[in-house]
Amino acid sequence: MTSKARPSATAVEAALNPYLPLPVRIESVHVETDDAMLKTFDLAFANPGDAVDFDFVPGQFCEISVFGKGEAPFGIASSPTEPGPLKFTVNKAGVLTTALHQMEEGEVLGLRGPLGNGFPLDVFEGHNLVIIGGGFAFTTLRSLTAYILHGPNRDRLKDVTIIYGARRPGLLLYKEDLAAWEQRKDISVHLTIDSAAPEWTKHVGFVPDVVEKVAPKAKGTYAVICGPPIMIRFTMPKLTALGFPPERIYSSLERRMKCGIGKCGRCNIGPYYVCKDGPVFSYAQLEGKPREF
Amino acid sequence: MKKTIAKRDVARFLARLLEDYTVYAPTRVAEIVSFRQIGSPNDVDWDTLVTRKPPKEVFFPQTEVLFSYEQADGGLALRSTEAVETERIVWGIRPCDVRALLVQDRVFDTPDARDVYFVNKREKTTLVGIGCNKPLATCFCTSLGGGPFEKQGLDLFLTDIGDSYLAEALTGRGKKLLGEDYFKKPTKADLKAAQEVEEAALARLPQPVDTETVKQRLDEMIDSPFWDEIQAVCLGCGVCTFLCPVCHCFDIVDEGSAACGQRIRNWDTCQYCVYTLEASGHNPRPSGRERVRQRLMHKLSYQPVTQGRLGCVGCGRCVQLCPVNIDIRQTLAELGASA
Repeated sequence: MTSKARPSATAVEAALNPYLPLPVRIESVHVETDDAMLKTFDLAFANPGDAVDFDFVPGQFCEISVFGKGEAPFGIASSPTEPGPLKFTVNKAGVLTTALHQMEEGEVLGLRGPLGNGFPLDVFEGHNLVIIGGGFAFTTLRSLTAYILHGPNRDRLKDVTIIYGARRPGLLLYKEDLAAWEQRKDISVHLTIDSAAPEWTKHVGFVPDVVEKVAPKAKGTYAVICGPPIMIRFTMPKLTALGFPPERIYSSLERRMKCGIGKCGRCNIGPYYVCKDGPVFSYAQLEGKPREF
Repeated sequence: MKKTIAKRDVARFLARLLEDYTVYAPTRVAEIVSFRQIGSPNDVDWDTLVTRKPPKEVFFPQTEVLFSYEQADGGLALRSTEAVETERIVWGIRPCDVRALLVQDRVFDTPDARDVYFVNKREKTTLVGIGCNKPLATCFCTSLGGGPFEKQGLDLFLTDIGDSYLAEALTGRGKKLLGEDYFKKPTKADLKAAQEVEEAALARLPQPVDTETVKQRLDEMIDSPFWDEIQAVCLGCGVCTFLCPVCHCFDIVDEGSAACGQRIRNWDTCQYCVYTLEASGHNPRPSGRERVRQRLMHKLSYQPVTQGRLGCVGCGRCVQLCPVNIDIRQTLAELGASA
């Protein structure tokens, strides 16, 4: 049916009104962590034609509506190279995410996006890349990694290294993806947990220390770092000591957001809005700005 | 094009406009003067120079429904409310408040994302401004490049010259209003009178501040104890931002159930702790120090970059209404003074 490939009337309206969400249906829910605080929601457009115009890059995010509770921003965890529904991994933290965690397959949410800038893949091109993640901040890093490892995309980069840590094995996200990536020869994956656990044979220790040990040489390498503030605080000096200049260290920032389009005002860091000028920034951009992140 | 209209004819002129337009003008309700829709010329408050609430609420209401939603049979229906049917007039807007709208234009109407709720109202509105013959002690538009008779952004500009107004049309919309019979050709005396009131008003207002120097100094003051001094007295009430004609921050909330309800936006303020509080408990602006810094730096350092205009127009509302007398003019004077 050709009509299926066409955006719905709502999508046409939403193209003119940036506050209107498009209906998406929960296709499946996957519990990611053994404490069940993180779930991945696979969301499919209720009108299949609406997916046609949805072009995104890794690192972008969406505003997800849980009707009656409001809207909140979530990074897109799937890669544009992966067909099918969009993935969002959600930590149960507040009113909206608690309501979302109670929702089941088939239920309808609203979605606005893609929003923000995404990772600068053209800047990374031709260089080594080290991807450093901690805790549940691996969502858009999953998108980035899956994108890089897709077909000819891998050839656009030299060595690719992943360093990903969680407090314990059960809190690592995307365990199947991690296992598959570990099998590949064209990427080195370093997983770490805070303290030794039975049957764990990989790194033990905090992310900054693993970075110090296994990070590639700084020359010709870009670093992407996403994680809890404490991890970033202790990893940054290690990267600096390794010789990474601020313009080659990128991070995806999180802030409380509402509009997602640079109007409502709350997510600024100096003259930048995290929603529209970010969420991905280089540390060179953030130098001299209030450390409100 | 300049004409005059006798004050005794203004009520009839307004009554004529009410036939074709939805008219907003300063009105006094329970001692609060703000821009509200009027039903008759008698509703207009002619005496107040700086209204308590700025006219931004005509375009960006304190509370505004964005859309209503309804879920039934697995489908989702949205009804958006951005359409504006009737032509509008804002009557009696002051130059500083117009200047503020020009900043808001650059926030809400950007090529990457047009805020249709704001833009639609702006596009349907004719602005009739009035000059300020007797600026208040708290007025400081001239400090920041504005003026009591600045006309930029207006369609029609009125100058009170005693028994009549000198009316200057600045756009096609303004010209259309001047087409009414009530307007007459101005005499030389009328033009001279207008010039005199303008000069007298300017004489009451302060000198320009070097805002570029203010910005440069602020950019080097991120960790300065300066912010602690302001924070020490600030109550964090937010009145300076809610009643600021430039401040545009808002919150978005749902009212209703999962099945049906409305998505609403409300004015919000960077002066509140919860404004940036995240669900995790982390707050990137944890104390008043960061919040007072945000307000002043947004207006005087960031907006000149992001909007190409200062985020302060010198209306003086925050100076008048701050319960602990925090005065942005003092900040400007301190930072703008030559070293």
